[in-house]
Amino acid sequence: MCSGAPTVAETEAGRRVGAAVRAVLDEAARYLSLVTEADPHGSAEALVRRPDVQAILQEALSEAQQAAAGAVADVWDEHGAPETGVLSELLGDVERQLSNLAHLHGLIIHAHASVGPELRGAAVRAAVLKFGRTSALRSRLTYSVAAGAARTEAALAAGYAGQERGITVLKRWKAHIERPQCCHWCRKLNGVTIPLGHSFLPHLGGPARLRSQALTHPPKPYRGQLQGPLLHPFCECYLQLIHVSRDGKEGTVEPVGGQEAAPIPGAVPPSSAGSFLAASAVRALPEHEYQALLAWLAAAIHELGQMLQRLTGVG
Amino acid sequence: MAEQTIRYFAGSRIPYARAVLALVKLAREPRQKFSFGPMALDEMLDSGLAVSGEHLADAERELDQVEGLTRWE
Repeated sequence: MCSGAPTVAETEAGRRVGAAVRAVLDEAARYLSLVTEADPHGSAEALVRRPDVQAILQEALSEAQQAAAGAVADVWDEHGAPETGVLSELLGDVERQLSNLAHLHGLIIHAHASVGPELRGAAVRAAVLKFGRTSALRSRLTYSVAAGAARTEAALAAGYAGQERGITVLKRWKAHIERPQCCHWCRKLNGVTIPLGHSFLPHLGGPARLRSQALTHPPKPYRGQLQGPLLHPFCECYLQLIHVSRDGKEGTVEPVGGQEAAPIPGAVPPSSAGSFLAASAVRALPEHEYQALLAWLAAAIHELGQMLQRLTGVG
Repeated sequence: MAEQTIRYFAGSRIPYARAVLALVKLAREPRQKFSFGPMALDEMLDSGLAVSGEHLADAERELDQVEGLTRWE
């Protein structure tokens, strides 16, 4: 995986998907808060059984699902990828996250029961808002996976079309190793060249020591398949097709489906993959240093929150 | 028991920072044997927060309580 420019990593379109999902659930949260505050002594079961509440929640889930599923289908079409099982799986993920009204009812009932009557409106609102935030993030992740998988499927389709014309075609994993954020696993896959139908999984290898004594496992690819990028959400790797001539010479084919091959001008050289921190290293800190670290972290989180609040006020 | 890795994603830096704080606190307990990273917020935004170890139940419990953080299966 890698990051930086808006290729497969979080794109504006991905953020819009998240914002759309969140917006409709925010609306529902406001409505439920008003209804609950109007009757704070009523039961939670009666609240979720109200026809207007049922309709609002169902409509919110339905709109959110349409926004997310529509975006996934659109990005798939954008890349000209053929319809495959991966697209169905991604759409299924969206449906599972955003069609479970009973789950949302459960969250509301739990929130309603967890506080006294005077706080019920706020608690119910917070529960729906939290569900909205989680759903928005999941939708963004799914969108990111869809964009990357669509690129790969489009590239593979082009490769198979070449093979049908009698050309020997191989596929090569390309990572943006010039970007410091490019992860250990994508760096490892960079340059691996295999036949079209083969999986990159065996080339991913097993656990590795990433600058600590502890072993870290590689990310699990979507549905355990690795015919090409992406390896995980927000991965910027791409697939390059290689045409092999009869005399064994290789020719690179321009990436298809919007795949990006160009390095980023002025990018930082590789080999600065993020380190991992072991629990034993934290325990080895003297108490005063540990307390200072905690205080610093808490202050940094507080400061960041304050800054964002001020920015929200400006907007 | 085999080592496993769990991965969490968030849409901004704050949930990641809260997660790091929670893990640093948990790490002080003598029985905890996990590692986590990458220790760079920009990189976390892209690859998520990974936690590796043989017994991750406590880390999972802590991270499940961090608002804005979602486990990626």
